[in-house]
Amino acid sequence: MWVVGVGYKDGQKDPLGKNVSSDIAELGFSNVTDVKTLQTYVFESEISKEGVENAAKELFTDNVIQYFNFSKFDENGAHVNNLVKEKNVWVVEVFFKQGVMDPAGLSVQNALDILGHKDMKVKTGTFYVISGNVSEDELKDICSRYLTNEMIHTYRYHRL
Amino acid sequence: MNSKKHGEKHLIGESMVKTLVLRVEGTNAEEEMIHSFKLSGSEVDIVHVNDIVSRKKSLEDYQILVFPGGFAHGDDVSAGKILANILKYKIWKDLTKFIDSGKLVIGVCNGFQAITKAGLLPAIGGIGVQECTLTSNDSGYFIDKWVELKHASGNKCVFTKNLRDEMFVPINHGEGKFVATPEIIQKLEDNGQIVFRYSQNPNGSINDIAGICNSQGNVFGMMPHPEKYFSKYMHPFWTRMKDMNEEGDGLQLFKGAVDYAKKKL
Amino acid sequence: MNSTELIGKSDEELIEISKKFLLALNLEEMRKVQNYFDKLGRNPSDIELETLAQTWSEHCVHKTFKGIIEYKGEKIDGLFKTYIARGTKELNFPWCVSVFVDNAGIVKFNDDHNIAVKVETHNHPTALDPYGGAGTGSGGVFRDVMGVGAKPILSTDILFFAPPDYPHDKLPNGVIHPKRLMKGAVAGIRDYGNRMGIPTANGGVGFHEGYLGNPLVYAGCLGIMPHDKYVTGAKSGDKIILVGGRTGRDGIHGVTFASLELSSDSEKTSSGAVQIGNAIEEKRVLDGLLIVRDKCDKPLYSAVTDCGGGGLSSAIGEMGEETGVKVHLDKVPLKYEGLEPWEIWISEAQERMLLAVPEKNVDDVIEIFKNENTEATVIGEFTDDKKLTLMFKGKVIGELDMNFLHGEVPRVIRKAEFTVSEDADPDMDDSEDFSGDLKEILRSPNVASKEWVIRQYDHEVQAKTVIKPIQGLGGPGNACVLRPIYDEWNGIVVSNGYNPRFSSNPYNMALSAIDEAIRNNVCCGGRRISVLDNFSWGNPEKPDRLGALVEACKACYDASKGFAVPFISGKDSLYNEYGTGEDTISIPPTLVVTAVGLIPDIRKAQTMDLKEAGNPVYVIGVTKDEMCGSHYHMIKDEEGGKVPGVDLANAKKIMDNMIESIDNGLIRACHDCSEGGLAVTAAEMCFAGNLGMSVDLKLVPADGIKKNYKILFSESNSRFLVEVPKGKESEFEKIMGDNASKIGEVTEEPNLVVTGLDDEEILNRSADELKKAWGETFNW
Repeated sequence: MWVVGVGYKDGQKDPLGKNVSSDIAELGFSNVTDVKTLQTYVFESEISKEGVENAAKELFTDNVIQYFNFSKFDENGAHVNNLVKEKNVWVVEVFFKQGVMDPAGLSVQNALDILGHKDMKVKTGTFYVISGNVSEDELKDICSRYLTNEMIHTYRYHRL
Repeated sequence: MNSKKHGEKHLIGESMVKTLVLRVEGTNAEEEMIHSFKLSGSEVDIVHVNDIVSRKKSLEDYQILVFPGGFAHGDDVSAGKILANILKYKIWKDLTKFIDSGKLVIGVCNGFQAITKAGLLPAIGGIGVQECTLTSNDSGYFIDKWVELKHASGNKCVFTKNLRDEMFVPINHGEGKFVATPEIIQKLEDNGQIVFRYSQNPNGSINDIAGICNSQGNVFGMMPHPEKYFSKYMHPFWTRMKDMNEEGDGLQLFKGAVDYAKKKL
Repeated sequence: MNSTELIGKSDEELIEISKKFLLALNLEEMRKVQNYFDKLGRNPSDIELETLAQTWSEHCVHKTFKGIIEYKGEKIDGLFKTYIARGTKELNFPWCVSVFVDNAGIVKFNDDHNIAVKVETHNHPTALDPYGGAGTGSGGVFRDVMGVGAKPILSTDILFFAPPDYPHDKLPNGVIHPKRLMKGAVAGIRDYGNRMGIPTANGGVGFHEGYLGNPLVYAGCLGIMPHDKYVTGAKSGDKIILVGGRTGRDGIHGVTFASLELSSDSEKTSSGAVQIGNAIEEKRVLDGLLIVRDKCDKPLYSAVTDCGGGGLSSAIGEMGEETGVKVHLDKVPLKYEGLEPWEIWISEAQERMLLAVPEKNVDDVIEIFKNENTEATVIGEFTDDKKLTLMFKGKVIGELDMNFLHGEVPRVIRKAEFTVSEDADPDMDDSEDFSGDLKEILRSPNVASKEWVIRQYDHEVQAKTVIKPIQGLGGPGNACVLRPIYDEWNGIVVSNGYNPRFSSNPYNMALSAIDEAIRNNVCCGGRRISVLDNFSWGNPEKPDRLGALVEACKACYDASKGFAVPFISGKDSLYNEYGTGEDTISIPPTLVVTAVGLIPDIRKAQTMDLKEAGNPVYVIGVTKDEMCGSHYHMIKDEEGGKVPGVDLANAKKIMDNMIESIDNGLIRACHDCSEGGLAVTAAEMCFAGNLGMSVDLKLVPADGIKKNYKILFSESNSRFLVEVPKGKESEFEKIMGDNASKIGEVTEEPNLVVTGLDDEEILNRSADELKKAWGETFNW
């Protein structure tokens, strides 16, 4: 399985990241200095490396303001090292739970069909890259109280 | 109204201008768009892009092609991106032929996003390469408000020559921020391809850009919605205004397009 | 086919079975089911039990509103019949096309068109996932309007939360913080309505600590349709076509879950009850539905309905009630493999609708939806055997008599009690300067500017909104006005009313909510008004909650007759209590009233912003000493006094006379008095018009009140502040009679200046300063 991460180029604003960052600060976590977001797409169906690159370039990424990285999806999350270049950060991977509908994923599957990639199965997610002097306990708190909803999300975090 | 056979050239003054409003799943501002063109003296058809792809309908029969506002494909991935790919991968030949023949293409809001991402606008380095984008408003939120636009003097757009200097219209968008590299921005400025600017920038657009055209001036896009101001009673505080025209300010854009098409196409 | 043993089980065992399978059926209901199957000589299959649980749930049957209530020596034969529907029946207006029977209430708009309206609550799902819960609430109510064949042209939303600055460390386990709930809910409603291209142009947000564990979401929709396209009545032989999204495990036990109180365990037991929305899917369905409706003279379907609470089991069960129905559950398109037939049957997957289609039209219908990129599948047929027959891969897995399923729900009998305890209105000291108090009220969450919310909603889409939620140069509009047909001048006025702070006197609270909805409508020029009732209440099995409900319902009948305004649709959401171990906290009982009026010429519509210096200002109505629940009492921590009532006869006269005045051009600006009383009304009119107002309290008809604060901040009903064009005073006074009193004028200097009963200046602040205070709270 492949995973693609799409982020904003240096110098471009990340409005979602900015809003998440100020919301977290409001909750009382004053140590968070920055939040960046990556839109992620996981191919659960077979596709070649060239296919993934093509999908990333032609569909997932707005090449004027965004960049992409891609990697083999690792069950334990090692792909995070390939998708996120920052160091001294927490990375939280958030996906929908199995069984919860992913309308954006369905849309992407149809859009891939237009590009010639037939019968794809894709799920979408969001990675949050959190900078600042944040302890693991604080991070868990941020996740449960704000970033994720256990009703519909599954998530895990890594320290880079 | 004469019916014309497919392919027969239109004689000046003989038949009405025909406008095609192209819809997809998620298009939602088509009713007011159709009405604005009808009020401006054009015949209007609304066609699903599937019917162009399957050749049930042809772009050739029209002088004006409109991409209206909405949430095509839910704005999934990014606004207008999936529609842009449909244009690039499914109807590109018909589209480029339409544009090369000098006919008019107008993209409003979601439509502007789609044609920009498909590389139809501003097409400085050639058609088909994306040079600009419309992305999330700086605030990160959808915004609904009315804004004043300034019509840039001497711009290349062929059908906005008679527009008044200012236009007050609504914006309704979450991804309206116009972004491009400094080089592209400079070229747009130098080439007279900037058509509208915001008087008070609501979303962070570079150089306050609200609408642009291609270098021939026949492909045009804008984020604000002139079709939502065809009558005085759509103004946000008409109850306190005096001496207003019955006709809304936004209509002048469509009249300009239809008049141009009548004379030249 | 799995079956559940019921025959021979004892009472305790029956209750256990109901609990174990989350059926939420009480003992009497379980016994009735046991009896039915006893007669058949077999045990029920699991799908038959589930069907009964769904169909007999509170949500689908409205047991409380249809049951028998013993209250203060009376035996009330159904709250709904006695107090809600009865007024409408007695008024018997010919323009009420269809009330209380179909998915939405339908009234006449003009000679060719009808309006369909529905408001629904979606409380429990929002508490668990605010974005998905609120969004699908909107999606669901849009489908209700589509379900009578109308095109949605307006979305409304009224939300209730605990105060957004609630301390994080006091938050109980398992409860989402109100600010996060509010942001999530607003985003959910925004994204659904915006994506479907339906303007969200009316609504409100209310705050009270009692909503901490139970936020409320009222999602509403108004649609329009040509009157000759309204068809109902599936016929034997018609096929059942399922349109839209695929079916999964979403929302399983959503309706039975709605009858259980929330607790911190709710998250674990209810994860199937959360639904995620896909607005574009619903838009595709809507696009297809309108084509199927309009392609020929008559719609291609005989009946249409939406798939909401209870899923297919409710929708098909109702649609086929008269004829009988056979359903092939293996034909239902699924999201993923592995669903049991009963799961397919009761799933509350979103964005689905059902059509009853004559066989000759089936191919056409499927083709049309296919062109819109959405699925349409034949999943069964309407029979003539009056049975509900469920099949899976050719085998019968469930069969129930329609009469038993729909007719034999045992009526509940409940006891209710309620005593209003009100004391005399306290007499506090007057201030010398009320600017501090006024600003504090302007800042309080119920009153404060909701511009942050409103500007996220697209109100321009469809280009029909001629009076928008933000009026003048930035003031809070009372109602929105729609012009649904571009080249005609007649319009629709939509407003709402609610005040949970009045809930200690539920009769007066209900009267106030109805008065507020009507006066908001009148402010913009609305008349020929009909209303919708939406109750969110605590546990109706507790006598005091039920008694409060009875009182509120009585007020509905009295107000409906008093104002000559019929109820045309309504809904209730009960059991809104949060369990914290030993006890449960109920929400403040909340009645939301939505009013839909007409205006013959939208060019005469009025707004609340002051227009021209020199024009006289009038107060309409009488200000009384009845401040229990008022915002002034709230900021002073005062709990006593009486809740405002309504003098129905005079109130109706006022509304009628106001409309006559508007129609004759005698009103230039109009705003009603509600939270914060006259002071807030005056302040809002000033900053919305960037003009000032001078007011002399001595001139305000105030029932002998001797304190300035009472005149300034009392929240008595049926009152307005009106700006009248200079020179038109005598005409205006002639129409309004004793109900109008001139109290001041509009000034060029944009300051609000108020002189008190002793001729001293008690308030003098610039409109700017007041607007700033009003805009601080939700400056997010």
